Amino acid sequence: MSLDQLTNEAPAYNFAYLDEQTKRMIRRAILKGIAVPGYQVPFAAREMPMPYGWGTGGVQVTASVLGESDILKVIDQGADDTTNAVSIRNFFAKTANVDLTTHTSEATVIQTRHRIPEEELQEHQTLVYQVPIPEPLRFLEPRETETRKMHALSEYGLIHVKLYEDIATHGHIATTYAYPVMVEGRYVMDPSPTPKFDNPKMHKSKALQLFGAGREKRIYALPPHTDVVSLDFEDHPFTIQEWPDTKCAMCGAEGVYFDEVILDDAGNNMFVCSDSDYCETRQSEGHLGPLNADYKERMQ
Amino acid sequence: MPMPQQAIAQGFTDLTHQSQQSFKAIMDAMAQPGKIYDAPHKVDNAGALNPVAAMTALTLCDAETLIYLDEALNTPETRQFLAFHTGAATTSDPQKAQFAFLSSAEALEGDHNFNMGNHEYPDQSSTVIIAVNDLANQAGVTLSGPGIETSRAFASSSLNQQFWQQAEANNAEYPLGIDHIFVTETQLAALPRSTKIKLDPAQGE
Ligand SMILES: [Zn+2]
Repeated sequence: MSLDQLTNEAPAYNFAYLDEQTKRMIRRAILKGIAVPGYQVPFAAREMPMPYGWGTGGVQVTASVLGESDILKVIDQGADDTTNAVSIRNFFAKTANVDLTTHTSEATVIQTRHRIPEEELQEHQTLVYQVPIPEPLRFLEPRETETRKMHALSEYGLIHVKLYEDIATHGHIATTYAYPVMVEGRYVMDPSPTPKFDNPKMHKSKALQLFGAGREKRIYALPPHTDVVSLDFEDHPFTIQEWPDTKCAMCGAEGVYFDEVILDDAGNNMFVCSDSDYCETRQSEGHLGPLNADYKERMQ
Repeated sequence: MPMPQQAIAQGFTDLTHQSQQSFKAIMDAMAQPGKIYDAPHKVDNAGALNPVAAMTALTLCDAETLIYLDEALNTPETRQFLAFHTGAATTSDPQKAQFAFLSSAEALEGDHNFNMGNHEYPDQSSTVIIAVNDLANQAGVTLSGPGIETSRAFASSSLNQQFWQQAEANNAEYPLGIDHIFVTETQLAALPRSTKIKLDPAQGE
């Protein structure tokens, strides 16, 4: 058989790879997750043609919600062009033949690892998170039977103790990623490895947020307009990361989540938006940062 | 299984995409309680199930789920339709049902015994699909909670005060509880256990 014949053959896999029975099982879990926001619904995760750590949980959730007319965006650390994001995007381009975009505003489904886009999400959008460790209490209590009891009883003293120990040791809460949140005053939830900078974006988001953990076989969800409050203490309120007096070197944005880029051996650095689409859109709209080549040209 | 007395109606003609479109509507409805959605597919002649109830069954039920049917829906035609298209078995025990299809909210009155899940696994609960005549976002009850920005007016002539009191009691057990999907001949809306319900003062008297 020629390569041409091979590539022209009807695909051997179902739309979006998963078989219908698996999708139904995942869809049932998603509905339960939506009905009980922040509660981790067990599901029978399938093997996917990619290694764990590559977002198999998120991929299974995306595969179960994605339709022919959806427009998909995939980000990793805020960028659309990283290896992980590209391989997942290619996977769905091949198995589901959906339209792809890098523009947040154009996407109907966004799969992410680490970041929530800077641009506010809307009601018609679904954000799917790839989650490595869904259990926020796991580092404190390794036994699933015990963590399940804690959630059942809303017994979250341990995690407060952990955060308070942070304060005792560091003078502030040192947790900056996967910073635990309280959902609708009932369940403590791991917001996946997003920086705490993004926690406030989860609160009352207009978009539906779905979380998939492949290895740990858990799905959880936040419907739109759900209360998501970062855990804190009266004398040590929750704060997000801040970069005072910092502007994006490329687009001049302030108050966004920055990546630091080292420029040379002398230790010169610059800060750029972690959200590459946000940054590029701003540049195309004429917002230019001090290290942008167009900016230099304009200044000459 | 005895031979069906008449031909079993067609299910989805394009299983993959019609399932996805139907699920999307059900998911959005569950994520925005009380908001009314047009059903993307209507499945006719599904025994005693209305076309949107049938769409829901085809989308969510299979050999891994047990279905409860109330008396009016529990006909040989309905059972044959469900068995043929979903492979789901029916149960007469509401406690065992992952999905319950009801011809009216009456089956929920009193001590209905559908599964509310348990504190460690609140997901092990029944989802109840109730046929109603109409759905409207107008004065009736006021819904609030996850999925609703401030509040949402919701009414159906098929849902009486007794139902809403039952639904309030269901919400009071949160995170335990049953989740509701209301289906007309063409539309659907959902009421998950997380939704708070305020009875209209006029109705509450
Ligand atoms: Zn920028």
